[in-house]
Amino acid sequence: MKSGKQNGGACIELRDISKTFPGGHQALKKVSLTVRRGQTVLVIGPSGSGKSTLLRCICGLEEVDSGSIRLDGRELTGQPGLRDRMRPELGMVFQAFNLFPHLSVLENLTLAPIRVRGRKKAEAESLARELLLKVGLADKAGARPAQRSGGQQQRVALARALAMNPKVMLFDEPTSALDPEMIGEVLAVMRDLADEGSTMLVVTHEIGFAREAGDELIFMDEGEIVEQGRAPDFFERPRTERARLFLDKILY
Amino acid sequence: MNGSKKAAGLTAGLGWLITMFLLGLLLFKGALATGYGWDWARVPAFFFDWDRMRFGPLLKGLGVTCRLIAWSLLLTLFLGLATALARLLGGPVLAGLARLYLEIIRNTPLLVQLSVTYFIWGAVFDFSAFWAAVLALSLFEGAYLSEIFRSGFLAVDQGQWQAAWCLGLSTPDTFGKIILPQTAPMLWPPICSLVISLVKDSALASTIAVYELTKEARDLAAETFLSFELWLTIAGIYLSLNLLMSALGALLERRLGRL
Amino acid sequence: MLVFLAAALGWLAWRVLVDFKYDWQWADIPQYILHRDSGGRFQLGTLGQGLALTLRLSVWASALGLALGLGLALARLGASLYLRLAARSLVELSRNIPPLVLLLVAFYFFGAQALPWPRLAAFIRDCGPGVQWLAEAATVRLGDLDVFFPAVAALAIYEAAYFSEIFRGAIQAADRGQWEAAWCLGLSRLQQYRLIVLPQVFRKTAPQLAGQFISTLKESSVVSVLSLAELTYSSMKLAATIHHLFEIWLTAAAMYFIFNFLLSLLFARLERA
Repeated sequence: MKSGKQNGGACIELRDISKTFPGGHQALKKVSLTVRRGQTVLVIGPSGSGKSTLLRCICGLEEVDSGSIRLDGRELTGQPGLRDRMRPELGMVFQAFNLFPHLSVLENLTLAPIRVRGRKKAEAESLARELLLKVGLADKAGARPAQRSGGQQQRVALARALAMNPKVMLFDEPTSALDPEMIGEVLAVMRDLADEGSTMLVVTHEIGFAREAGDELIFMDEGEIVEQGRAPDFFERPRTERARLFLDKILY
Repeated sequence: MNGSKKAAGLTAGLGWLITMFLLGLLLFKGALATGYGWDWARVPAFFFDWDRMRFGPLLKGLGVTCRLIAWSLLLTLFLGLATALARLLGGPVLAGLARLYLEIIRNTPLLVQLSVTYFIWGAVFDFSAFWAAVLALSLFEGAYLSEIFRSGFLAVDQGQWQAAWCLGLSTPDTFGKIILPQTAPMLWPPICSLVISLVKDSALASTIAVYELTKEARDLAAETFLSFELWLTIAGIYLSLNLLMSALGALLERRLGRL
Repeated sequence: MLVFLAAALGWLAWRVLVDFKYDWQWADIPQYILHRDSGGRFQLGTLGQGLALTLRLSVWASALGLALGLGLALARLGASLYLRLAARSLVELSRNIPPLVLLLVAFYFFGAQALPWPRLAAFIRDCGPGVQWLAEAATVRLGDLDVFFPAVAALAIYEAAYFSEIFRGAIQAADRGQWEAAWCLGLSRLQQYRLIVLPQVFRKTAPQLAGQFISTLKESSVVSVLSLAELTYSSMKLAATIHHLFEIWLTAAAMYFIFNFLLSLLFARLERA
């Protein structure tokens, strides 16, 4: 559980977001959500509930059909120029890591700060090393990502997103592609981030993490937010039938 | 949203047409600048001579090209299949020979192969230039065809053979009923490309005095000096021939897919 | 099956070696590849020089073809419909017209008549013997410039079509996640291409690019129809002069073979490294 954290003003505001994919499948049905500064929001739900789509719409990888997305009060939908500039502000951690294999770990972290923010190489590198220290990989700076374990790769991916100093960190099932023994190290880093007051939106299957780490828990099913509230409340006293069915399946 | 896309498409298409037109204009102007006198009127006569009711040199050349391609295709098919089978099912000696044949073909230019075939085999066996060209072209394309067959064959999962064996199917049956239907659709596009390559490579036969389309054109160009008109026409003919082949290939591919 | 083949080959060999009355004169050949001149230094003979020119032609054509091919691939994958159409037209033209015809068209349109090659040659000569040597080493005898460049242009355009297909396939096959990660970090489209996708594409396609270079070496023989002294034409001329047809042609074939085969082995070695 979080201790003594300040929850600030609205950071991300979603209002009535809807999205239908070309095949006819409606992934999101008028979803509304607010993530406050410093909050850690967790999104759980069955496969196909639209959780990943929601995340990808927020960071801009997918376009919404209708609704509004605001970052720190600024409207992002319908503003391609602004949306483009705001990309690094929404740090994204992918399920498949998506590290750049032809660059070293350090280069993965310094590439965007140098090319997009115009930082000097020395400055970017020292910042990158600090981040690597933070995620526990200080000694792996020169190595190629492919040689590292899954858990290490994901931590590098995390550091890479952090290197751009984003307003929000988005996590798309960050541990789903990891072997069980490596999940812990990644979750530990995420927990540290949350405790420091980062604004985080996490889509996950890790029920243990969801139970303990978040300020707020969201349960999605079939493109809608079905339940929303504090984690203990959800797990002990689910209000809807759908939530009950879901919990039955996962907590056997 | 759709309207603006259509407008964008239209402007792009128009832009492309205009560019093509301007390019053509540039070409013509360039030619004119060198004092060249365009004379398109004489070109049709090269196809058909109405006065004497006989085929002009270009049409004759086209005929020879088609015969060249037809015979080469037949021999190529035979050689390609034989070589592929040799490499896949033959003993070490046979497979080794096939491999040697392949490497020789793949590492020497077709022009050199044509010349070698013409001079050497021609002298030993008294071939005419036409048949030397057929032989050389077939040897060349046959090597590549065998590679296509071989990769198609190898692409089928080993598990298919194992399942067929466990069911008691004989080798020819397995090959015909199980393996072939799975490889055939995969093989069609590369085979189409091969045919197009054959059409293009047939032009090289002109270097050993086979009177196909390109050779006729070169002789005509030397006689009449109408280089531009002739070469543009020839390029157009080959282009049309190949586009026709591609279209045919695509059509047959769809038919095959439906089988 | 094996017996039949052995018999066929045996008969073939008999006809070629025994029945065929030819006075094989191999001894004359080596001097045309490499020989010692009066000063005792090694000099390339006609065939050796031919091979050198073949190499130069291929390097120029491959380099230009690769650059053009990359441009065409990017154009075909880009947003502009106009560029997509233009690139597609050029690729289809190169792929459907015989390289021989392409070469002759290029020669007549860009060759002797159209551009001031003699002036360029004179200019280079005026620059001094050092510059002239450099220019000739990189390309060809100055007198042949008017044939060299159309030949390179035609070959480059022909190869560019193949290069563009290689690049296009590899770019399309690139992992979506790489594009997405780069996008989320804020890199522009150009940066995504240049820093993330293209470096990986080049690594993946290196063997195919090497293979295309070897193809170019073979295609360059087509240039012989323009009387440019690369290996094939040199063989023709030599055959016309000293009449040892078979030895010359077999030697030329062997030279191409050995060169290409060794090159493929080299590339295979490098690939494993």
